[in-house]
Amino acid sequence: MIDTQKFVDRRKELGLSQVKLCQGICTQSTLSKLENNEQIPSVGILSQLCQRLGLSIDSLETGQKHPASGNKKDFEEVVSDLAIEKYPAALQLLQQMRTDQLTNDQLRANYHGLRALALAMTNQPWSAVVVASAKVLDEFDESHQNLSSFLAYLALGICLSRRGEIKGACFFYQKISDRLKKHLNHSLRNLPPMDYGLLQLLTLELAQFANVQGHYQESDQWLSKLLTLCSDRNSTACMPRAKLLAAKNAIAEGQRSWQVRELLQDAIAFARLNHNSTIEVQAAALMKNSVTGSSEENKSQKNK
Amino acid sequence: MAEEKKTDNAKHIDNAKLEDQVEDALEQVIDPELGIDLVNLGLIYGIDVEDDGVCTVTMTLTTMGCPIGDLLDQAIKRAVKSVDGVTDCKINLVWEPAWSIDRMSKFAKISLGIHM
Repeated sequence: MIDTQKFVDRRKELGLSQVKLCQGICTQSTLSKLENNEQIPSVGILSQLCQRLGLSIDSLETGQKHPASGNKKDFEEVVSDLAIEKYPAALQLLQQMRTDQLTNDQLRANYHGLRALALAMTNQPWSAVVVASAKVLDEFDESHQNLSSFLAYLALGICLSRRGEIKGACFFYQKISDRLKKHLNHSLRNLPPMDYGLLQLLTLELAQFANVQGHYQESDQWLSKLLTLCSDRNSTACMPRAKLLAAKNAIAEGQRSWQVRELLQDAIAFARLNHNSTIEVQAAALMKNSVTGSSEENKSQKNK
Repeated sequence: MAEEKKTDNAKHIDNAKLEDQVEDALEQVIDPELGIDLVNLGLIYGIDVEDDGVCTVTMTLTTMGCPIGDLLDQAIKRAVKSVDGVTDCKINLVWEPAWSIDRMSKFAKISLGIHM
């Protein structure tokens, strides 16, 4: 968070009006929004304003994070945290949300759906996942039309899959798969960022489940859809896991080692970009253990 | 009184020795996915042996998203209990502080080809 009071005090101390301070840098409206804590401008503008006041941006940093209020941005952040495996951050954000401030059933369904998924992904007690999922399916999204119901299905599917109850897990993954195929056939242009992030996450999880079942081609098909979803909105949160999974599929399908190596290199690069140490070491280990690389294949890569 | 203190000190030294031996034993437990042992991966946060020989291993995993597999759980307990003087093993799985690549030993990083 930015300490705007310090910013305003400094401006007044120097006897500068808002008009004078923002001259040649930004509009007065932008400055006014900053000072009223409504909107922080770009780093470029902020740094120029700070320079004129003789302040550093760092000195304005309060060190406090915005408290989670359960708004759309918070939900988007949870979805992104789950995609890049920042599980503690996702759980903390959900814990901070004030459920009494969630103003409609859709927000409540989103909250409980994401909570069910975060609990399932982090191996919390089965009963907690069931309760959170039931709140979505039986209380806040009874028509099962929203993506929050998919989250509940996915949470239950993950739980069953990790308990080795594959038949039960298949039931839920199939439900997601059928609905997702319909969703992906429609235009996604106007889809809000959170829903778009959820579609990516669900697609990735379907690819993962297909891999676990040994259905590598199906897994690749989901990954191909995911790649389109990610590139359409320039988002990389799902990419570390997606590329690692593609490499695992490629190994299982007996693809050439240079193809596997390329996928693993991508996984490592995306993992570094997203600060995902876990995927980075998993990809590095797979590179070490699986890519033996015959000299012929090395040559063919060089000639590429 | 002095004798009692001496006995306490001796016990303390014995427990410290056992803890070193437990660490050596855990160096033989390999993470199946990464092919590196738990100590060099930096997953072991603490080893405490009580006077009754019960050993508590405080450890983490590379991610919260991965359940500690039954096989790994059994391998840890088997290795710890193989040390003479250890009567039982408890695993205390923690997530704070979170694991990162920085916790890996130089050996592990080189082995996986990770250059920092």
